[in-house]
Amino acid sequence: MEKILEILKELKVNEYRLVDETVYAKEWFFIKKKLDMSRAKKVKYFYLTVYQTIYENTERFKGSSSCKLNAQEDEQTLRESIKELIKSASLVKNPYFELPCPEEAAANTVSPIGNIHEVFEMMKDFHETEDISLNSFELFENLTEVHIVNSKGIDVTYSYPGHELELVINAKDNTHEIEIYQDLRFGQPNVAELKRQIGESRRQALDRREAVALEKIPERIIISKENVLEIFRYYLMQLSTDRLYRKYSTVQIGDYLGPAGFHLEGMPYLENSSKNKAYDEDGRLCKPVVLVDQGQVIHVWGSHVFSDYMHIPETTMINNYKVAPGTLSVEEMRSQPYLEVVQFSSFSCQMITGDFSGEIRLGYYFDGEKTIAVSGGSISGNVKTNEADMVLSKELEKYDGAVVPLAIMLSHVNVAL
Amino acid sequence: MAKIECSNKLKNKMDAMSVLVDQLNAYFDDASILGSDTKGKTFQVRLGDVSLRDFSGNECGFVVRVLKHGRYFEYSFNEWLEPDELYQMILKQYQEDQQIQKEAELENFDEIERNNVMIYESHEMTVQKTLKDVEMQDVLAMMEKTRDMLKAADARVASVVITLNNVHVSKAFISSCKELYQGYMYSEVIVQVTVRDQGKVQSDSKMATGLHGLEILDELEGKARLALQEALALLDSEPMVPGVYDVICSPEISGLIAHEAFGHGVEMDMFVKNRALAKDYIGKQVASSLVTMVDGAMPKKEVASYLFDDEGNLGQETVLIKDGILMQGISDEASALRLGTKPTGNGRRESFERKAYARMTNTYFEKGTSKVEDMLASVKYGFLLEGVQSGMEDPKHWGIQCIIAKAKEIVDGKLTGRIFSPVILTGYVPDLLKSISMVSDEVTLSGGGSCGKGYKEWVKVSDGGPYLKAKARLG
Repeated sequence: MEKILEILKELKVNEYRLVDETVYAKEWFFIKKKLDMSRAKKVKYFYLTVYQTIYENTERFKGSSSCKLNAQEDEQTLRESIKELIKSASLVKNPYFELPCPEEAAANTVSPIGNIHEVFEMMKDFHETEDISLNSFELFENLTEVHIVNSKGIDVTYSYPGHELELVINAKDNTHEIEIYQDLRFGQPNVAELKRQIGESRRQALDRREAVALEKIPERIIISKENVLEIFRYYLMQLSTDRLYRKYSTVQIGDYLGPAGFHLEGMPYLENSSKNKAYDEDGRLCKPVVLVDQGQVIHVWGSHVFSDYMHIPETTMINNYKVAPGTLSVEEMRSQPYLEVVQFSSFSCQMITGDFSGEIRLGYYFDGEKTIAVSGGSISGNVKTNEADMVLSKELEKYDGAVVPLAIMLSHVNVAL
Repeated sequence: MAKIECSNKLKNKMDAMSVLVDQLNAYFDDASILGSDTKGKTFQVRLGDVSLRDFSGNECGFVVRVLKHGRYFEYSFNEWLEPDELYQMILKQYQEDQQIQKEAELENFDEIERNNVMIYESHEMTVQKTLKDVEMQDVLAMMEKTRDMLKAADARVASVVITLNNVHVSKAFISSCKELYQGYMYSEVIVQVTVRDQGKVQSDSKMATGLHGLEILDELEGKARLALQEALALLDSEPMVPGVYDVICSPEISGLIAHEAFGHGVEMDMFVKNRALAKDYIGKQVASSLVTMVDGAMPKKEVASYLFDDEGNLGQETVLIKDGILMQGISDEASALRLGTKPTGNGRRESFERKAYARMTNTYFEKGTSKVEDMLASVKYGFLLEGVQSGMEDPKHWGIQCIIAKAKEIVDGKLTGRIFSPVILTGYVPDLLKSISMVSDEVTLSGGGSCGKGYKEWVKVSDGGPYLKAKARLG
């Protein structure tokens, strides 16, 4: 880092941001319960951004350009790269903004990585039966160390752990075998929680084995489990300053957003999240913020640059978020005929239009008397169009960096059989 | 013309890489090293701001793979030390991993036997223009002019994003019997136009991709005008009425189907895990006899074309489906060794930091004999499908999900002008492929997207094909 800072000084670069990031990782790949391959990693990069103030007549503009540098670059290469950055930054004529200055320090900048052996033990204990087996799993353990400095005196460090457990469970009978895919991401291993989630996948696998084609279309559609995250991501994107500045969103403070009584807030720290970053990429402290309360927009979120562009009060970046409980329990949602989809091939929401859709891998259809597992067909709709009838569940569920209602109930959704 | 070579940074390391491999071979049963040096620039022009930065996939580093007792271990790093020091570091990492395995009492999967073939090859290419031939300010000026043209063209234009990625990839691979290096360049220009009218918002994007330099910008204005025209047309779109219809798939939708159906469906690491139904269907009919489908880094020149993959196996052409019959899969090295087949040059990594899996390259349907106008004329009521949004594979159950930007209505063989959007195509893969009744006489590939394995491991791929007539469930 010192070598880069020296060259910046020598080349009279007055404004810059330099991020030193090192990632340590260990990875294990299993087929059934047997280890197929393992990997380790240590990779270090510097991310350098150079800023240039450009004067045109009486107006000021700010240009910037960024590059990724290997830790081992020789001095000559570094000098050439920085010269090129200076030139590139002078070509980029964007609205003027000030670089952020040092502010209060984060209370917590280091999170423990946890005990990976507990996960190995848990997977070894996966109970296999005639019906259910573990097909394969991959386990990733990462520790990221970050050091950010800028020309205004910001000098902060933090580290955060991240884990990913991707697993595939099979269920079979005499006629066929099916699989359920699960991708769990978390900060530190919490074995009790992981066991609960894997237990749910086991049940889903058995249900999918019995699933039949959907034949009737009910009025009520319930989207549950992690699929709901895609809908809440749409609302988060509507409130981000970069999307507001770029006119993808037209939401304003005071507008109503989301279903009746919607409450959405962001926070820098959430227990067991893999996104617990103390500072944003500019080295500014990440702060808690209420974005929407009682359905009304209170704040927007985003980087320092865009709040400056938009001449609005300083905003914060969001790593983790919470949505408040809704008005109906899941049991109440399920009291009348419904189709509840718990597994899609891939449930996706288009962040510009709000169009959502997904192929049904596992759903439950209740005709008023009995519930059957169904598979096949698809649902599609639009967040804005379907918002008036949208109801969130009272029960909450945590998924890595988010705590959100377990289920969303919708009406007037397109279903293709 | 500019020659695109393997970077000197990598070429100059190849002797030291060989020394390290020799040292590792003294302790391990087999060893290899891949060096990867990707350098690219991203130019992005929007209505409110401009950016010029390093391409997000830039990297420079190495991955060492060693084989001991029939099992692979890998170490990824980007701080090069003397071979002696690297050897000690890799040994330390390996021993730490062994200790973790011992403490956790982990069992090992089936052993891998090494299978080396002597190869010494290299590949470099030429493009028309690089950033040495064109000033950066001229590139930005051209993009800004196009942005301004789009903004001025219609008051309903809310947002414009024009992105140019120009990427120079260098790779070197050394093992006891292989010495390979390659350099190639790909470029992509993507125009996205968002329009808003009376509260309704729609967006469309168009792209040009290929093994090109900055000459790709020649296609910018045409793509921009088309994106604007299509985005505006979408403002009048209607929600799809769910049902099963006759459809004509444009080449990009044919490519999406190829990719999700029997691209992912024949990745042979999934055969090893018993996660792909295709394993039991080799030699059987899975598609209409009009269908021939191919994957390969060699036959087409697109963004996923290369001399050798990330395990040092030469890229090739693999016929996946021939006249409707499933022929074979695509394979990484470990899967091939375990299945008793040959690697097909499809062992690809997201970066030197990640594991190699069996991955697609350029995947496409071969051309047929029909004319597009005859195909359209043959539809009584149906849709012309255009514009890829996303897709998802399901190799275990042969489901398919394709999210498509728009369906243009066809009545009595003619486009009516009505557009339905968005569209989700789902179904059972063999039903969909067996329903193909006409195949047009020209193949087009496009490489604007990336392909994930599940929800991670993103690699650059291209796909495409001719126009296809089929029967599909739309929602």
